[in-house]
Amino acid sequence: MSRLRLTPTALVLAAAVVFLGVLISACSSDVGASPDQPVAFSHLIHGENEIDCAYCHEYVDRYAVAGIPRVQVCMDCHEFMEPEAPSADLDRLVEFSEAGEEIPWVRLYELPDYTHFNHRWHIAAEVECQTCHGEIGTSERATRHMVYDMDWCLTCHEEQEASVDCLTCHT
Amino acid sequence: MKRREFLKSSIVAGTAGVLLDACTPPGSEQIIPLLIPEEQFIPGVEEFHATTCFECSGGCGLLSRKIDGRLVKVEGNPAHPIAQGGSCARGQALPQAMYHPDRLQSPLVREGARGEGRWTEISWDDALDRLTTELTGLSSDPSGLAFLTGQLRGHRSALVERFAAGFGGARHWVHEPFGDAAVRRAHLLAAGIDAFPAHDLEHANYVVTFGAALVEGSRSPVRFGRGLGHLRRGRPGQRGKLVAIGPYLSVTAAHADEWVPARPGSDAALALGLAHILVRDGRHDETFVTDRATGFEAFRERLLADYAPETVGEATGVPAEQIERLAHEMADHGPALVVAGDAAVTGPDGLATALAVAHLNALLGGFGRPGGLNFDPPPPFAAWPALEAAQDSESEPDSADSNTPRPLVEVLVDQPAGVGALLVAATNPFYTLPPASGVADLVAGIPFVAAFGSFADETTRWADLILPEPTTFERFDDDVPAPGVGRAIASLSGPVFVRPLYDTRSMPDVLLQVGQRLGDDMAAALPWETYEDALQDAWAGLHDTQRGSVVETTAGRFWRSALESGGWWDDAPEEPAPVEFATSDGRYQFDLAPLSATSGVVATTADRPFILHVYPSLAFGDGRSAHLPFLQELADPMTGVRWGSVVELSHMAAEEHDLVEGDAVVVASAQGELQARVRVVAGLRPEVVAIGAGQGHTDYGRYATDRGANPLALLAPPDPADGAELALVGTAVSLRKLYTL
Amino acid sequence: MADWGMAIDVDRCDGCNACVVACRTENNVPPAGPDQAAIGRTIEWLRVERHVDGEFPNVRVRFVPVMCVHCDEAPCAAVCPVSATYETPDGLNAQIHPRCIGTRACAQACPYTVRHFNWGEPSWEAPLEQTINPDVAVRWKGIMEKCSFCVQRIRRAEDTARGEEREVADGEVQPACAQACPAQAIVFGDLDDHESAVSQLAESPRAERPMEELGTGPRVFYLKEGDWRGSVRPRSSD
Repeated sequence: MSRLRLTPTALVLAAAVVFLGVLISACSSDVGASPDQPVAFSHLIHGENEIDCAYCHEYVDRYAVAGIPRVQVCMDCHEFMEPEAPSADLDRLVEFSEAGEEIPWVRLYELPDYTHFNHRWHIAAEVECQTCHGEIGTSERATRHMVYDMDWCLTCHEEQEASVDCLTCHT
Repeated sequence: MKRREFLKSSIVAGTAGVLLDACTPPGSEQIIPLLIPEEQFIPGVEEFHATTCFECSGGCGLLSRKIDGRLVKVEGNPAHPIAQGGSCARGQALPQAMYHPDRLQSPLVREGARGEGRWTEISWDDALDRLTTELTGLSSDPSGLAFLTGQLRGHRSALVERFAAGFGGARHWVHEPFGDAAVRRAHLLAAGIDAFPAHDLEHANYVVTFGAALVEGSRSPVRFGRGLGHLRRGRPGQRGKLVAIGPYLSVTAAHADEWVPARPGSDAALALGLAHILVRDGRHDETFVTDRATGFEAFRERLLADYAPETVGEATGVPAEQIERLAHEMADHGPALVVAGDAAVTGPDGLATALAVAHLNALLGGFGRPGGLNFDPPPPFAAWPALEAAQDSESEPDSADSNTPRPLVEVLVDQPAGVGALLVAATNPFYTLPPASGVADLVAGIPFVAAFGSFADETTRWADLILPEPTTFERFDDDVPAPGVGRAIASLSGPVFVRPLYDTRSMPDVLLQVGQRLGDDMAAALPWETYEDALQDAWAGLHDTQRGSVVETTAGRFWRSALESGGWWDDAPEEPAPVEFATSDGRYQFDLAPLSATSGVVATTADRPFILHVYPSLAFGDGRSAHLPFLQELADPMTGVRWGSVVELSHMAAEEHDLVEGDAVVVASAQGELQARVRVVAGLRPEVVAIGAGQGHTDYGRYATDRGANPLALLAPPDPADGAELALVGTAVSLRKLYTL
Repeated sequence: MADWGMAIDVDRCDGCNACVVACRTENNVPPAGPDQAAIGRTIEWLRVERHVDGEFPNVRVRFVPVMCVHCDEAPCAAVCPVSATYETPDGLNAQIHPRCIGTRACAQACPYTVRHFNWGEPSWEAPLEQTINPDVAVRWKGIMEKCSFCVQRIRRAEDTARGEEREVADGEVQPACAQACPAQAIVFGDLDDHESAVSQLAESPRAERPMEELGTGPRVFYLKEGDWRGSVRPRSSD
């Protein structure tokens, strides 16, 4: 009886391992990617000017998403700023604003739809932005610094004694 | 970005292709759609907007859940006195109506011959021009314009009547297949009030239904579901009893404590048989019949002479002892309450049944008592500015009563000449009436037909112009729920979205826009730019009461608060208000005349040995919800059938006619035939076969078309002399086996 | 931590099926379609069973809503080779979709027949996918799914309570079925809280747990249908 059960179970486990391997590699294959953005926004310049992350990512301490700013948030400042030098990117920003269009930013990080992440509780637990987003705030180009696989999440959750129950993140 | 593009691009890539691609679902490279929409929602943050469900006459308040700019769910509005947080299967499926792939997206004008189904999209400007031109051509004879509608909801009814009157006397025909015409008329005769009464199930202890499909019917499943739950377990230590009378074990009868399978057509006799026992044994409410009623003596004589239990037992097939017991239980374990509806109040005996049940309630002292019946006071809307008298109304015979809509079935037997244009809304007679009713002839004789609706159906197919309407989530509308709960209630619905999903306009808005184009007289009759303005004027009357669920300092604030909360309802009365009978002498009338119509027996023949019973489907109502895939997939509670129809047959009949479960049969009446599989059931009289309404559409979107069979097409055409719409029970049919599965 | 459970009053249930459609809408369960439904591949996390007793004319019917009963000792969890199903600390029987490999062993083991296999790829004809609830992941072909007690609603309520620095109140979490039910036949809450409505109902003499004799320890209590005994106050067993 046990022999009969062993073989399929082993097969199944092997299949699962292969499967999860595929899954993780699909997510982590392009670490360091830095896609071209419609406007070459520099986190570095904004960081140097001591603009708080939460000024633009305004929902970060309240909601699941941090929030990508609307073009109006950019214009709140840039409307009243004289560029130091002609800048095609600033021109594009103004074009988007005047056309009443939002900027089609290219996504850096995305979680599968079966994984639910909430910024709010991570901020409440005083996790630094850099812990998950690396040096994005001090880099010229937005670059994917991290690999968000489950092992990475769980390592921190275990260290911090946060919940590691599956249904904490998967609903 | 346009709203439609936005919606397309923000599709949540689900499914699994997705699994391996989970990190980069197709189309999600751009995050704008998810993060910064035109309405500036915050992803993952839910919003709830009060709306109203218009799928049945229940008028339930809903809360529409909007998240990521999409409508994803509805819940019953907890504050709404009808819904009280609950909803029904049809309501729950409603978001699928908004995002249905077969919605009408822009005005369509007919190409080719009528009924061919070829259409060209046109702009609203062109559509309004066309409509205006057609109507202008009728200005010399205003009765050349006819409206054909269902039971219009809220102020839509008043607006159509006003348009018709402002036009100089247009006609208005009404067709509502599972309507409550007989119940309303019975209460008009007996109580002087043209309304479907409110039933205080919460305080009743013994409830008897005659045919009334409270749970699955088209009346108000949420209201009745709430009441029945309370009847059973709402009062600790006190469990009420529900008795269901009718030839078919409906969902309501299945829920009941006792099912009484009386013969089809014998409901009035059974109600009067119960009344006989109450009167014979002196168990009726003597105070009521002496102090508040007229005609009791004649009624009593008639009851005692003609409705003895033995006689009634013979007519109904219900043992005399059981009738005696039921009557005594009603008397002993009150408050008792009787409700008539659906099949029992249609056909030749429909009015008699409704009236007999009203009389039974009267004998039980039910009018105005806790656990009895009441009539909802109408919400105190402000009247719209008075119309100037129509110029030459006396010269036009049909326009004299044009403010009272005529039943379509009356119009069909005596088809009028000279109707030049027909405007159709909220009714689908090509589906809900049998072909023999002549509706196709009527429409064929009218040179111009325009139809309103969110979906193409069997009737819009025969139109020349289709005017697409927004769904309830995209428009302003109001409703007065019927039946209510004994106080004034008005449901209000505003759009959940900034703009409608498609290029749609609601019927009242279109009428107002056409009114503007038709010239000064019409513009003066319809002095509003939008239906919202018209509603706001009417609702100012509720603001003026300065009481009820919404009290504000200005009418503008009142309007916004009412929109936010889903309507306005009066304070609940401490105890039920006494019923003021609006009859000539102010007393309840034990009217006898309509009772003489009771035959008590439905005839079958050797060729057609079965009586067909058509019941409202829990999922589809009269068929109008059949286009929603969630409801097609729902297993019927009694037959278990999904995506189709069955013909239900009793064990006895199956044995006698050598049929087994799953056999394919042809069900044939004098009007036509249909094919379905046999389902053998315990809860059916042997001489009856039952088929649920709602399936068998020929043109109602991809999910409903060519699915199952339409039993309404087998019914005998309505005889307006009966004062009734379609008889849902009583048509003789035969069964012919095609093959065994 | 809460111990989530449910009580269903069969005496209140009138078979209206609002719960079934509500569950489908809330949890992104698309219809199987006519062909697949005809061969029994409809997925319904919650179904309303019809129990018919007697013969004409004395027929009695009970409607019984049936969903995953979230066992304490779940037979499904015991047989899953990849631990895709297990009991969470707050008493839910969890189905972890990405971990499931579709052996269907759990469906065989479940005495309540409430686990469903995705025989096909779930799909929505555009634009019906707009109704997808973003709180609930869409499943895919080849895996199992079942009632989650609307865990997404539990988590939302917990998030709200946490933000307001308080406990989740009784009645604050309503699964879609309980919320839709006009007859108030379904009550959900914390079985650890003896004041909660669900605990009160679970202690009713009418309450019983389905197939309890199997030792599964179900977390759904059914309150039996009563008999009408006239208007006298019923016996205390009622």
